[in-house]
Amino acid sequence: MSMSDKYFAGLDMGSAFTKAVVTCNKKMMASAVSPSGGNYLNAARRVLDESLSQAGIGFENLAGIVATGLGAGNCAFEARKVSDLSCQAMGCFCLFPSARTIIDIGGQFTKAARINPEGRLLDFLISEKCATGSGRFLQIIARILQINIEDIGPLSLKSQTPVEFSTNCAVFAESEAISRIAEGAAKEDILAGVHRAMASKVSMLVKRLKMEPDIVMSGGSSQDAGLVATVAQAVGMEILVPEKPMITAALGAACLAEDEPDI
Amino acid sequence: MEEREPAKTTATKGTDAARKIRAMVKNIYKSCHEAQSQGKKVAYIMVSSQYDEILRAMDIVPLPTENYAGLCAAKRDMDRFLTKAEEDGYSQVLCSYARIGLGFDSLRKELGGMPENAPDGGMPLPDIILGSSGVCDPRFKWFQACGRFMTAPTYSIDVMHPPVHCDLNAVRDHYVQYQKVQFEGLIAFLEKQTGKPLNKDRLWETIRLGDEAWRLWYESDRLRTAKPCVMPSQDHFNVMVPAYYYSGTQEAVDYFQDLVDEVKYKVENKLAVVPDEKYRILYGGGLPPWHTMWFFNYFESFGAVFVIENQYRGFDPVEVPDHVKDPVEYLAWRAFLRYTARHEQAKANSGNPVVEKILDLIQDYDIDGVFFHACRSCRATTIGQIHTKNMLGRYSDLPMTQFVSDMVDLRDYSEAQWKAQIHAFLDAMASRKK
Repeated sequence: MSMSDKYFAGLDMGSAFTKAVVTCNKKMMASAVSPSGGNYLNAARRVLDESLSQAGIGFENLAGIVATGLGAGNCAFEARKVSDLSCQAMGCFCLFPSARTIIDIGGQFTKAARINPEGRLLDFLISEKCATGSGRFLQIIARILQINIEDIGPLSLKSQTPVEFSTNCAVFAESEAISRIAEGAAKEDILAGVHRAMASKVSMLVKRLKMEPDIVMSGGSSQDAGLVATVAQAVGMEILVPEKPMITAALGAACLAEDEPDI
Repeated sequence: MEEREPAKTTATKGTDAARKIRAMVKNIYKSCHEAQSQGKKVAYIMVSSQYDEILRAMDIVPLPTENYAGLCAAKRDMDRFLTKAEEDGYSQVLCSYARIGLGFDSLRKELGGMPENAPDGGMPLPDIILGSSGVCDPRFKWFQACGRFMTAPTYSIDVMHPPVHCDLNAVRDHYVQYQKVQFEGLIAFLEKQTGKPLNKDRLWETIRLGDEAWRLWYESDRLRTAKPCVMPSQDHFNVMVPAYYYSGTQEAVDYFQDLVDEVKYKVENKLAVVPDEKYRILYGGGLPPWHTMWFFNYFESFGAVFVIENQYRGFDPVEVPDHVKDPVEYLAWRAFLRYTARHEQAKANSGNPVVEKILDLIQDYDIDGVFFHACRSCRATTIGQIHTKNMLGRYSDLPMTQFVSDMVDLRDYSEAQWKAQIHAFLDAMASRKK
């Protein structure tokens, strides 16, 4: 750590997970993720302490913090609030400067945005009030299939005959999945069917936005390789995925803390 | 800037004129009850049916059922009517104005009287029901369904909607004649119901008053091009009340004269809605969310003001030719000129009159972003929004956004989602300004 280095933190306080990133000259120095667990305040403290510790600096070394996400209003630190879409856009842009379209499948909503060559928001759409287009849908199905979230992607890619869901409602899809299990459908086919249902919603949103390449998918759901592949097929374009897709909004927040004192 | 947490559903207004509207709304329903006690006919009506001046000339008191639905939503007293309609079998995807109206009528019939604490005293049973095809199909299907709950005679007229890519010179006479016949049928029906013939001198007078009120409304909107904004959109969504529900009366003319005077004064003295106006937003279309009108103030707390609308004041003043000497023919001509006002401009440019209008507004009002409201149960104002938005994108690089909820059904609204979207929209406007 040099005396002239300035450090910045980004906090993404989402409905499911809270994430922190520490940057210096827009390079990621450290990151941490923790379940929000209904207590944004504690989760934010936890992830910020952990990432500061990883970076080997103290809170007093931070030159600025930007907070984003549903829980940003509960942040106990002196932090500027920026919309999560702006943070996602900047985070994805920092990782992929060629990015022009962003897809973020979060715990509650799916968001699609077009960004300019500086990583700024141009246009965006947010999914309607429906769980089928959100990451929650995957969590519901994983629970009834009794599999871990991280196993969904690899398992779904083995599917040969994806189940066709006849409903657009996550609650009814849950009972439909139970019926398919009872009928002997394979788990991978059920998961692939879920991906198709989600991809249909996501691609509709992205196409409405008049997408442009490159497309980057962020958010926890983009760790699911099966979902990424199905969405790519639905939109007809390759999709880039960050190495740590859960922390892109926090990274963008930290970058915005560096270069935008007053958004 | 600090976030201001609102505690009410309605919005804080910017003008004294808008603050007078609440009393005018109350008076709509009060005057209906009074009219019936005086032996006058009260009619369920639909706005934008082009027949307002005929009703006023025939002493028929208009009872706007759609407005009543909006009123129930603003008072957050809509659930009992919505659920009653849904209990009766009306689908949740049907127009929520219609569901509130039908639910209200159903409940009133079931109770044998006015539902307890009905907003503004409730709607009395109408003597006549007057639908139209103007704007959307619930305007006549809803009133057909009213037959389940009442026996009032019903009449619907067709309202023209000439296509854009037609030769106006070739179709004008047909449309004017067709509309005139529609009005004549209505007049014959009303004469039978009231037992009185239409006095055409009286109709000329109500037309003069109607045109003057709408001209003044237009004038007030042109004054709103001034910066900073002195009259925000939440005020507009109030001042539409005298334009639509008092059309053809001196009261409406006086109201809009006061509005023009007030807006002029505020412009001259730069009495801004927000002290530090950062972003000027165009309300690009869709019925407003009557259940959550405070969202306008939420935007304002970040220096963003809705300065003009592509909603409700659907027509600029038109010049009916001098050779038209019959008031019914005048109304037919006026309807034709109103509905084709931007056809030639559209044919020469984008091909879409709505896009043309919005592009004009963007330029005239120096707009920073365009907002659309998709109402899940209003097909008429929602279908085509994305198409319009995409077409606008060919001519403008402004940030545009579409929010989703409903005009009155709160179940289609998500506060967390709206707030997330509001902040993203503000960021998009900020990015463009950098």
